[in-house]
Order: sequence, then structure tokens, then C-alpha cells
Amino acid sequence: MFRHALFLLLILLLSAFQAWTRFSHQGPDPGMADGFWVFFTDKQGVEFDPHAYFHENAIGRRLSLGLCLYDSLDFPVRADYLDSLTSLAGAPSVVSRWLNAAHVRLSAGEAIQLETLDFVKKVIPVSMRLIPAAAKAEPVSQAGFEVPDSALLSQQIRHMSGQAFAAHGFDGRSIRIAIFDSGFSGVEEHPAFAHIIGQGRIIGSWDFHRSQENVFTSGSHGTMVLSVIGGMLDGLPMGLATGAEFLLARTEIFRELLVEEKYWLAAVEWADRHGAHIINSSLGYVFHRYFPEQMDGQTSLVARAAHIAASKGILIINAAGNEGNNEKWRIVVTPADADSVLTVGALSFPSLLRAPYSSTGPTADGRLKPNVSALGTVVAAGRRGLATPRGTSFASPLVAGFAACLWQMNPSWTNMDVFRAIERSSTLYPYYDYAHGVGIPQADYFLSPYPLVVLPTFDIMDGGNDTLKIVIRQNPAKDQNQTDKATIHKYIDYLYYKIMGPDSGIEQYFVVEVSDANILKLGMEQFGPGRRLLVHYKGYTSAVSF
Amino acid sequence: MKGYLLLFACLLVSGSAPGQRVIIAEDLRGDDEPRVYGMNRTHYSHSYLGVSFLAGPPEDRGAEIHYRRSWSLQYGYRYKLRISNVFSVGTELSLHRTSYRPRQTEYKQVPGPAMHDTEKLVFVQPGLSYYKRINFGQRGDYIGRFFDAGAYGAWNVHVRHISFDEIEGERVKVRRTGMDYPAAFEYGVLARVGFSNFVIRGSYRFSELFRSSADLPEFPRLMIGFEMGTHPF
Repeated sequence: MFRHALFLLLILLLSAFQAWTRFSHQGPDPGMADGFWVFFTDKQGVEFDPHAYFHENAIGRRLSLGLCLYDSLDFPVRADYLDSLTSLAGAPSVVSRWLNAAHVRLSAGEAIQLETLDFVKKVIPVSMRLIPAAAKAEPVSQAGFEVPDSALLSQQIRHMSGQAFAAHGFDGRSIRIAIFDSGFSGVEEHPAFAHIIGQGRIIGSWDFHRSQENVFTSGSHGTMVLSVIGGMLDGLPMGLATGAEFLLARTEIFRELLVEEKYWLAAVEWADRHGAHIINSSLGYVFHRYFPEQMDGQTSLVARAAHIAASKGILIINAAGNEGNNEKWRIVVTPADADSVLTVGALSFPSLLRAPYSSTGPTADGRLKPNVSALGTVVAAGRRGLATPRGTSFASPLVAGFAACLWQMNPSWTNMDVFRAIERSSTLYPYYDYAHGVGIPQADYFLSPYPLVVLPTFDIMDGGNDTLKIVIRQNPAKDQNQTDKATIHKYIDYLYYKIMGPDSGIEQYFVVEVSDANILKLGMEQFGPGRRLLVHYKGYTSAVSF
Repeated sequence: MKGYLLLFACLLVSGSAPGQRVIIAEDLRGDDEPRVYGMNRTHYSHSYLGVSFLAGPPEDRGAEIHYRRSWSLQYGYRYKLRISNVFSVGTELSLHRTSYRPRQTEYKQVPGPAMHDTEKLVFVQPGLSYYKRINFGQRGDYIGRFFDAGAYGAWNVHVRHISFDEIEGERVKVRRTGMDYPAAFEYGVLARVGFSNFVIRGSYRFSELFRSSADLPEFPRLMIGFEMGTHPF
């Protein structure tokens, strides 16, 4: 009888618990996370000497943008606040100047207590454990030092007409690229990096997980990424920035394990301080931390930090993410959702169309992402030998190398000048879709000996019976002293078209293989009032409004 | 986003020339509909597999069991209703097959004093349970770390007693059903701690396993085991 009574009592307690949870937690959740960001109220009274703190590159970047060197964002967090926090909650694992915050482990009760302190602005619970987008990279095939696919190695340079940079002597020299990744084992010994190591062009490194300088002990995802930016094999470039300088940050533990977003935040400040021009981040944070509707470029801390970095003149290039096949997600990850981040989608080889795993756009607030695309299948240097990995992780460094060469070519440009020029040079520009962005950046765009012209490559005409017909033009005429943009796009023989809604968002988009001059006939019934049809073929874009 | 290749596009591109191949076709209309189904959305459901072992002392020496060989297999379908990022409630339908292996001792009373080489009582139980969940940590559309507390009830729809004996050099298996001593229903409380698909579970049976008229001591009431959710990690 006693057991029956006890059981009934427990049922009643459970019901009471439900009523309590129903009515007392409609607002923000109480802090039950094991990690918290503690934000401080001010930085009053701190001392800051930018010339002592920053590398000269960082100062140069700020001056070129007309920024004040004494930006309070860069001021240190007040030492007395950190001392008080340490005495109350233990030493913080990460301190962020930009956020004026420290990351500590607390119980929910301690967090509530901390919030009452005068110098604490707010306390936000954060999950300690996240999975980077790179975790879902496609399988890596390992090989020896023999190039596993010479056609692929050649194409990873040529599909961006990257050989033009090399031909003109642009190899990213004097450009400093920070790489955030999971570890760089094998870099010191691998022949693909002999030129970088030999010339002392790894300027700095930091393992944010272990708080040590050595990043060469575990994980080779970063090794592969570095090789695709600046590696060389027997004199053949694997990426475009073979002359660049590098900062290597280990911000995730292993590709397949859970890691922490806070290291990305710490690394971006570290890269800024050490004078990075470009940050390549083949990482992203997805459903373990966020909902897809939060991919608006404003919500995540890493997106906010990316905005700050961009405002200080750093070009951030981020992988779009490998969630394209994930029906629950599909769209770009964060911080690739931030509008100041150049987001790179992956293309399949040899089709040069979106790889199925590559995350698509738009962002949750309807902005274009990815911005550009590059090959996602590459020949890369593994821990030992060579590999042919796949993932947006490897498309991003290809574009980082491209950006380094372009910046070297135009040293007076700002980060956003480089960003916009990369977009402008791309194969589809000004056309775009949410699979490819504006297409593949092209070095020929900047280095063509003749003025670039865009000649019509097709006509949109009445097809009769309420249809529109699109017909490819054969051999459009051009002046011999001009470079037809279509010739830059020799690898791409697809016709792209999209239907824009009355709100200027893309409603539908298509890619069609071109094997006949009479490429398309479209029924007019699908074009309601206010809609637009945009068609692109070999550099030429045309639109029809309804 | 609806990705539908070729078929839809071939219909849409009416009258296109033979041989023109639509490679990518995406329709984003309707993409902004709010999502209510997902691991950390309003509704979520998934199936799971579990195994539990008896733990704790029996009520009496006469109900001693072989702990390692007395276990329960569970297959269930769980529904979760999200209340907030921290709190959820849910219910589940499950099917249990629980096997008790009484020790063959001189004190043995369950299900009777007769000794066998080996012996087991098998309960097949469709059940229903109800639970509250507390999640730990800020997270997106993800199960994450959680603690569940709840109650369960099950119907002992089929109970059989199986004994094995060696008689004159031959192994004899005797299987009995339709016994009058098993109770018709079972109920108790349960608790789980989990991280995504991986769950450690415990349950405590409040009800009697045998009818009071049978006057049999109770087997251990506590079961501890683990579950594996079949949803994506």
C-alpha cells in the first residue's frame, strides 16, 4: 500500500513540475549551461599603447582605413574586473577585448549572483561544445607523394585562371594570411611546405585549446588547407599564395569532435593583433548551437566578431559549410552568414557546378550567400603524402590564395575593395544564384591585356503560343583589341536562369546544359506580375520584366 | 528549400529542344514557413532501442536472481513536446521483453520451490510512459544533454515460464503459459540522463510482479540500462 501511495505522490509531483515549467519559463531560459560569457560594463582607466600591442601590419590596415588607433574595442579588459571575476568564479578560459567579456565556467546560481555585480553588464549562457562544419567534409583519400590526380591539381589553379597571377609575378608576397583550423601536423616536414618553412614565412602560431605555440602535433585538416593556399609540389603550385606569410591558429580540436566557439573569437583578435590581412576559416557552427533561422549574420557571437574584424580591415573568407545535403539545415553556417564575410561554396570536379554537400543560400534574412564558389575537390598535402579531400573547407583556401594575389597587386585597396573586386571578377557576375553565388573568381579579369567587353551570347525572343524562347548566338563578333568576357569562362558551358519574385528575392533558379542553340522555351504562365526572368550565359546577363 | 531535379524542370521547361538537360532546379517558394518539427522544435519523435539489467536486492532470499542473465530488451517510439529550450514533456509507446532468471537455491520460492538446471520467467509488455525533460546548455535544433523523470505503465500481455532440466541424459525444455500468479499490469517511475542518442536509464517498479494471492516474494525492482536513439546524432 505504501508503494502505491508513493507512486501516486510522484505522479503528482511530476504534474506540479509540468505546471511550473509551463508557466514559469516562458521567457529566456535560465542559465543551465556549463559555460558563460560575462560581459563587463566599461573599460574606464585602462592603458593602451597600440604600437606596443599591434604588429605594424595591423596599424597599417587601420591607418589605410582612416581608423583611430585608439579604438576602445581594442583596449584591454579591466584587470580589476578580471581579478574579481577570478576570485568569484575561477580564471576565465578566454578573455575578449572586442566583446569586453570573459568566458568562465559557472553554475546557474553563480551566474545569477554575478549578474548583480556593478561591473557586470550581462551574463550569457553558452554551450561549451560545438561541431565545426568542416566535420562533415567528404572522405579524404590518402596517397603517397605521387600526385593522385594531375588534371585536378592543374584545374584547381586554372579554374580561377590563377596561372595569370603567377605569370605576372603575383604570389601573395607580403600578404599575411591567418588560418583557423584543427591542427597542422606534418607541416614542418612535408615537402609541399619546404619553401614556406625555409623562408620563415610561418610568422606565428597558437593552439587555443592547449595554450601553446606548437600547432603541429595533431590534426591535419589545417595542413591540407594551408597547402591549398600556398603549397608547392615539385615547383607546381597547389594554391595561388605561394609567397604569402602565415599565422596558424588551432581553434578546433579534431575534425570529428566537439569544439568550442570561444576559440574562434579569441583567434580573430589574435590574428588582428599580429597583422593578418586575410583570415581563412574553414569552420562553421551549425545546429548544435543555432537554428537555421538564426543564420542572419547578427545572432552568433562569431558573426559579430567577424563584423568587427572586417571593420578593422581584415578580409574574412569562410567556407559556406557542408550542410547542403542536410534537409534540416541546407543553408550556410555561421560565421559564413555575416555579410562582411566572403563566403565560399564548393564546386564538383570536373562539372564546376555546386557540389551536393555545399551549403546554399540565402541567409535567414534573405541575403545572397555563398558569395563566390571554387573547387571543393582538391589535391592537398596530408600529414604524410598527398590527398584528394572534398569539402567547402578546401574551396575557401583556394579563394584566400586568390585574394592574397589580388591584394598584393593592389596594395592600396581595403578589405572590402578586394571583396567586391573578387565578386566582380567572377564568372556569373552580375548574375547570381544561391548555389554558386556570383560564380568563380577570375584572375584574367584583372590581368587581361585588352579592355574587357561583354558581348551578347544569346537572345530572348517570343516563342509563340505564350512562350519565351532563348537562343544561343554563335560566335559573337568582337574587336580584336578587346577581351570577350565569354572567353574567360571557357570551362563553363551552362546556361543559368532564375525567376525573381516581386520582392526581388529569387523564387526559382536553374542551370541547363547547353548542347543546342535553341536552348530553352519557357511557358509565360509562370511569370506573374512583378516577376523578372534573368538569364546568364558565358558572361552575358539579360533580364525580362513582366 | 525544395530541390527537385529533372522531373519538375522537364515539365517546367516545356517544349525545350531535345537533349537540353536541366542540371540544377531549385524552388524556394514556401521556404519561409515556420518549422515546428525538429529535435529542439515544438514537436519531435523518434524510436529507440534499449537494454536494461536488474539491480538492487530482491525482497526475500527466495527471489534471488542471476543479475547478469536477467535483463530487459526495449523498443519504443518517443514523442517530445518542447515547452522551452530547457523544459520538455513527452510520452512514449514501448514494447519490453523482460527475462528474470531465478537462482536455484535451497531458499528459492519464485515462481515455485522446484529446482531446475536453469529457469526463467519472461514478461512481454507493451507499455506507455510519460516524462518531463530538462535540457542543459544553449543549443540549436539538437537533442543535447538532458535529464528525464517520468512514470510508466505496462500490460503483462504474455508471461511464460521456461525451465531446462537434464533428465536421463536428455535436455528437457518445459514451457508454460497461462499461469495464475503474474500480475496483469506493472507500473513504476523512470529516470534517464542522455547526450543526444546515448542514454543511461533507470526504472523502479512500484507494482507487484505477482498477484497478492500467490504470496510470492518480489524480484528486484530496480533496472539500470542504456538506450540508443535512432535519430541523427
